[in-house]
Amino acid sequence: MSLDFNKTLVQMADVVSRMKTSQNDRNLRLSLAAKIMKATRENDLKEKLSLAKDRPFLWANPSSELGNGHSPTELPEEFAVVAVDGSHIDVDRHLPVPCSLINIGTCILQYGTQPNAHLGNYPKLYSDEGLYLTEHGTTTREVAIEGPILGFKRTIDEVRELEKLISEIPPTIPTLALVDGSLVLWGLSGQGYPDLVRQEFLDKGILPILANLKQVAQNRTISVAAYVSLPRSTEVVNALRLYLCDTNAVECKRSCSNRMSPFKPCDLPNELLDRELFDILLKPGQRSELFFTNSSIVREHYNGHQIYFFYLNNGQEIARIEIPDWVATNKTLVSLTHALILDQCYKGRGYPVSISEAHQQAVINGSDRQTFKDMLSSALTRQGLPTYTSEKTRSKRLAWL
Amino acid sequence: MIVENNMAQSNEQSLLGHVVSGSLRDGIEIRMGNQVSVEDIKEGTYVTIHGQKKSFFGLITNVKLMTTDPNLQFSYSTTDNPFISEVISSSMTYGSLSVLPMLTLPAVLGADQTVEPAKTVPSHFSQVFQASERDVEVVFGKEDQTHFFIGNPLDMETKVCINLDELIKRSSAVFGKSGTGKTFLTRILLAGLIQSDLASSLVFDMHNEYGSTGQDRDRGRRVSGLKQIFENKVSVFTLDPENSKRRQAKYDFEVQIGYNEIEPEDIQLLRETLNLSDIAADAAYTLERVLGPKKWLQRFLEMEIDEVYEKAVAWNIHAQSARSLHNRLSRFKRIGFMKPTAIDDSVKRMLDLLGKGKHVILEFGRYGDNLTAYMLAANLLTRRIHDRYVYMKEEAEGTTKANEPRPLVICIEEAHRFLNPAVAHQTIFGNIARELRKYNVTLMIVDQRPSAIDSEVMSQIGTKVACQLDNDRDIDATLAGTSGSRELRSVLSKLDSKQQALIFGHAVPLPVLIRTREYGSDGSYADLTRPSWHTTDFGVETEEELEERLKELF
Amino acid sequence: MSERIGEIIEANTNGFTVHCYKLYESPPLGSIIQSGIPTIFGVISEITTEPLDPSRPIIAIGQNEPTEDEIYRSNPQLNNLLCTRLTALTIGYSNNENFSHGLPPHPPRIHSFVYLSDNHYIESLAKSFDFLHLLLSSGTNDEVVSACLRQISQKLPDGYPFLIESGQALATELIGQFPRLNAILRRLS
Repeated sequence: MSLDFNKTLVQMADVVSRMKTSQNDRNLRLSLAAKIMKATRENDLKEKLSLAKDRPFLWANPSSELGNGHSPTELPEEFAVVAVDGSHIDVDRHLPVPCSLINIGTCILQYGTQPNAHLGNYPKLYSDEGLYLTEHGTTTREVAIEGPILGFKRTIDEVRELEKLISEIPPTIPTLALVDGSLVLWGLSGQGYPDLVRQEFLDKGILPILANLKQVAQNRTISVAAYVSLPRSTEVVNALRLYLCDTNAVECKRSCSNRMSPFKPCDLPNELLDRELFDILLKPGQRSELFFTNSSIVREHYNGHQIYFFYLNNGQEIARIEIPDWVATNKTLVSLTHALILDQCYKGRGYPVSISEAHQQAVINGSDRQTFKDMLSSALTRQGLPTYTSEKTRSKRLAWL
Repeated sequence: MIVENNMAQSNEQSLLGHVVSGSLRDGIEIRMGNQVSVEDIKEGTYVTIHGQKKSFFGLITNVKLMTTDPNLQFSYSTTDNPFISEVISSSMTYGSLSVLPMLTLPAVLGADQTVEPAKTVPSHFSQVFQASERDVEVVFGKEDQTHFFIGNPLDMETKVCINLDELIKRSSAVFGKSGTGKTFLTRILLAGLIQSDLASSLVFDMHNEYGSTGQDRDRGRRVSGLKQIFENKVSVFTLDPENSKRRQAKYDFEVQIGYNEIEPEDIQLLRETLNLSDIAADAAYTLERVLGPKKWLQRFLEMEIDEVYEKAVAWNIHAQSARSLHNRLSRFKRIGFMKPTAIDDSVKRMLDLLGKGKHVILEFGRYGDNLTAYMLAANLLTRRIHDRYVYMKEEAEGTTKANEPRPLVICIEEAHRFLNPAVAHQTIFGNIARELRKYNVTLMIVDQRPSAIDSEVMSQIGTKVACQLDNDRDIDATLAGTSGSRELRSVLSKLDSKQQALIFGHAVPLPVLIRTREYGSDGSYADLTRPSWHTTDFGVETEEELEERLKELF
Repeated sequence: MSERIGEIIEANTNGFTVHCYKLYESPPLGSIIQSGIPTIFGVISEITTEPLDPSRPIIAIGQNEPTEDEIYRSNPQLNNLLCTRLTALTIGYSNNENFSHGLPPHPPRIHSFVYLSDNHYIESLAKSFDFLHLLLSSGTNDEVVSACLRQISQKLPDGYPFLIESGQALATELIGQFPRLNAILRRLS
């Protein structure tokens, strides 16, 4: 039975009409918020934010004024951009064999006098022990690598691949290394996962890589950045909210959510997004000031690898760029990162071309997924092994009468 | 080794192309190979076709330009683009030859098997070569006593030989419009007869061209007569000794014809030239009856015209006819060689000589231009000689062949005068032509108007030598009854006016287009008197000569 | 051995498709190429440059670039995402030195290396025009035939007689199709 669009459409119309009435109010609040951001003095802001603690929302710490925009610098003559992206096939209980697949796509683009490109993809199949995280020496405490955890693993694999790509570029060439998404493993915050998981993906995962990259960067011009398209983050908005807030923390915690506040004047930026503000504040090509995230996961688990971010008007949209602290604290590197990402976006028509190509390498489309399953079955058959598939899978494929 | 030999043979001959279609009746079509240009191929050329089982000998009767695609003629690129033109001309266009298969050749050259008329055609894609010298030699025989070299095929050095045995078995003919070399050819044919010693000949030399020095009008030089070449074998008689003296032409005997030798049928023959009515001509028979055989003409001419009128009634002859007969026959008085009584029996002398194997040439001197004199003399002499032959032949009947009279060939010019349909049944020439070689006498007819000759006579002619003819009726008459006449006709109509002739009939295995052999240089005379096949140690020509030499020695 | 140009990515007995190693670096139309064991010879009948991934559309991106070359300098990945492929029609094969005109018993293997044929092979190929029949009956554009003949003639020490002879062979093959023959011949002259 297909979706009953008649019933759905009625509800959609309702949503749209409500949105319309709220839109005018929202636009007014946006322009006001932007004006405030421009007017805010750095010292006032820092003073106020430094006093704030324990709020029901996450805010970013600005390194400077909130509303400033920086224009890009010139591109170097020779430079390289490397990028990774990944995709995966999750463990499927309906398959005859439990297994998963991570496919990492890579892209190396070299510009200047000797333009060159190298695209690659590196699929890896996991099964049996590879599907579990096990605490050393025991089998009692093990965690299945599937669902979001497979996602973490993929992220680590991506960054690890990025590390390799950098080594393929001659050290004399300024290089930007890009990943799609975030450098912050947000999902690992809180108590949702056992320590085992955090150990695996932080202590044994991203942290050593970040450390190594920092090390490498001492000898060559290299920048690492994560690129978030259409970011939904509100960390800067929240900083503004905090700046505007004259309610005490206890009251705030009791009455405000992470989305909105019932009080004036800090209800001004209710439900606004960072990118909506920077859309007003940044001219095409400009980036925002640097911020560093207050995320608990970074604070508590990143061992001092502070993650900074800035917003960038790439001409098409406002993107969020995350960079490690050793990039953020080097003005040259920040300028380089800004210029190169912007260039990548121009070349990629609104999205960094290198990530886009890496994605093309990594992507596993629907027919590929089906082929993967068929190949798996036929490989088993060839070996004379039974290929049980669940009845549910069969019924999905064939809607019998 | 065998393969190499074949290769060598093939290289020797030039490959013209391959058989692609055809029929026995209409001839076969040859697709020419690209290496041969149509411009190098002439109609009338001989070809040898290597069939699967037999070799064929044939004659090219047509040369055509063909294309594999009719659209070709509409394309400009074939002319304005040199590359396309070269490709097309060497692939889509080709020459086609129509060939009339004439003979099948023996499988092994020199084997006993002889050439035979082609009764089938070569199979598809048989290779066609320009006939080699050897092929032509196989077909036309090697020069020997019976095979007389008469000329060369066009574009070849091989000798085409004519079979004299066959030539004299039946009457033969040399046709051609005036100035195309009839006399020239006839003289060569006669030389062949003299050389071969197979027959005697009697030549009515109307224009004094055979015995003594003649004119080679093409080369503008004087050529020797047969008497000069074959001194011992040729006797020249003349009807006009004065003329001979003036021409400084030697003659052996003078011929006179007595009125007593003239018979009524001679008058019949002259009816046209004397412009006599039928009744007037017939009156001669009455005159013979009433005035007596042998004497009638003498007496008749002695009468005055009044007496003729007078007696006509008594003789029961229409008076006016008698008068006109008398008037016309009186012209005989102006013919020098006509005498009331001949001083010598010329016929007997001739017969003696002919019997000894000599050849007699009768020169007419001035009288060659007098048709009456010519016809009268020719007819009269021939009749008497023929009578003698009939007698001799009948005498010899039942005895050995050696007693038979020696074959005689009588050569006459302006033959249609004797053989036209109106008189052919009455003249001695008509008889000879019809009776074949019954009495060992045959004719060699020389004429420029074959269409005027009686068709029955024409059909009895065994071998024809045709020089250029341009009158369609003459061509038709010449080719009537000949197989493949359609193809021969196209060859004949394209003959050069000089020194080319088409020979066909019994004396040649197949029609042959020749360039006549040379006649006129010292070397050519030597070739005639001492042909290459003649290998007598003493360098003499006949037994008689040998005898003479022996006599001289002792 | 002569220059290696790519690998076979699709093959059947009638012909094969080659992925060239370098973008835009295919031998010209009509060239003779060879591949596999036994060596199979083909005539390049079509050259295509297209996205490696057929689902990715190509769009105009050079509006702000000063030159065409600048587009490729600014987008080095194009060299990886575009590819030049060529299709060849099989015309013969050889075992050792024996050259056979006609189709091979088996097609070449996928990923067989493909080479531009050297003059030695082209000369033995040019000894017969049997391959013309294969080309003319393959349904390929006649331009391929003329291109091929031109290519061969340029490799021979004396090419003109070859062109003449090939024209004659074409005339035999295209009997009754004069306009077609004429068109090819024009391209040869």
